[in-house]
Amino acid sequence: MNNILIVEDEDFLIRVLEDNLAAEGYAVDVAKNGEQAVGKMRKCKPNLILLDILMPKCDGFYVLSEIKKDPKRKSIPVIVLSNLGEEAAINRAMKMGADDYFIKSQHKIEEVIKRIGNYFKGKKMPKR
Amino acid sequence: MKKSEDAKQTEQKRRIYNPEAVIAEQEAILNCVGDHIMAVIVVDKKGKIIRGNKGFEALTGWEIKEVIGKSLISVIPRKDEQMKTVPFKKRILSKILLGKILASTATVAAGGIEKMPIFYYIRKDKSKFPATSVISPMLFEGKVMGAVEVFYDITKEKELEQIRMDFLSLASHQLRTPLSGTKWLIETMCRGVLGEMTKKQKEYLDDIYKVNEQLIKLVSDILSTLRLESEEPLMKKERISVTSLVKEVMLTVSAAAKEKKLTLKGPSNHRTLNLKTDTEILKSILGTFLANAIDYSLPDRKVVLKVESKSDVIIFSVHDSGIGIPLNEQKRVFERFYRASNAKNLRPTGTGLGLNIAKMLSDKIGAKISFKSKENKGSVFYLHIPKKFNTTIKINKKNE
Repeated sequence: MNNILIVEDEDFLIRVLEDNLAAEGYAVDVAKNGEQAVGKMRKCKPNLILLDILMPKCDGFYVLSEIKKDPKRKSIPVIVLSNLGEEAAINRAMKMGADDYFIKSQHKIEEVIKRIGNYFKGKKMPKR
Repeated sequence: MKKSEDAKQTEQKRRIYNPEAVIAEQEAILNCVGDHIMAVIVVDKKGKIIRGNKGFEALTGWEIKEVIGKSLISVIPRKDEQMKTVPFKKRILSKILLGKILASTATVAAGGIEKMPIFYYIRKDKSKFPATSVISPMLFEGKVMGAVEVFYDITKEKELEQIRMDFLSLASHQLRTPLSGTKWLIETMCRGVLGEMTKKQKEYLDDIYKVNEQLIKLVSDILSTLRLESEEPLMKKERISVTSLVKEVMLTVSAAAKEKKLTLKGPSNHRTLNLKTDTEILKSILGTFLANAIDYSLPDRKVVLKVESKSDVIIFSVHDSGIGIPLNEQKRVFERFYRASNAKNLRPTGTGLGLNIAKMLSDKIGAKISFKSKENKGSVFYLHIPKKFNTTIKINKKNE
């Protein structure tokens, strides 16, 4: 079963993502801040990561840099889900190796779910 | 006439017979102007300092008596925003003294908003401060006799600008988070992930969703306007063919047009036109024109996008046969939050920011917006892009 790690600090967003992903048959794990995310990743290796940027403790940029530093984990697709809409933030995340960047308020949850599906179906499937 | 001649003669006499008093008066004026905040400095035609005020001393650390007779440009080096020293020849003062330009102003109109070109002046102790300045030539019988420069320290303004940008970034994030949450929660319910709903429940949820989308659009539009106002003109020039640009823009609105059963028509000429401009900005402006044409048209009508190339401009125009803008309200359509009365009736959910943003964007790329409109007949919105600034043109003769 494909395992997705949700890194998000807002409870209602966690729930909404969990419900939608579970309905699609994914196994879901949750980290509520950057520190927890890095800890969880060390223990397991998710197939895909949904990453928020502004979070308590360590932010999403830190988590992203930790993923990309780790040779075993750097190929895990990372989809940033943030409400930071500035070009600077988007460029920074993409340069750091994020695979996608969604400004939450501008996309339907369906689009996000569809995009996740594409990672598992298509060529962007992580190398294992 | 007689009186002013008399006054001139009296003044001339005073200057000849009482020069010390005149000099003292000028010194007093110089020191009054700007006090310790604004520097006023006078140079001769070679750019050598003749006199300056207390403000100059306070801002630069130089005493006037130390710098009299020295070249102003070497006394206070100027650095640009990238901290590169502005060479002698490129200093506005040099250009003014050579008669190449008539005056410099601290503010240039950009988007109808006053913008300050930012640069830094270097103090006597080599420290720097951001400044803005106005330089004006002293003209006598049409010849440049010297110049006066007034400048001041804008450290505080820059700090405030930074605070404003930080606030914007935070506000945008904090406002979007709950709105995107509501959006996704409703969408999840509508997807049926949590089970089926009754028809009535679905209708209510659809309404809540629409209201929420309206708020998202409002927040995003307000933030865009605020951001546009504070940002320096940020241009990313790239070359794009008008054909592909038009295709892309039309694609973004095709679903909305279809939903309203409108016919969307693109330009019919086959000219190979290339544009060099900020394409994202251009797309956004044309997108606004098209979205408005669609929103304010009645079903089954036509919306047409045309492109016309003239000797010095390329004109994009969007034609609709929609509700039009009442004549007495036409002056106000670019005002922030302004919505024409008939537009409000037809479509209560608009933000009144679309054209306001389009106007600001067009100023950024050196373009102009104009329109023609007749109530109940329709509107045409034009975007004029001057070729000499932004465009290069290549006409494919075969297709002419």
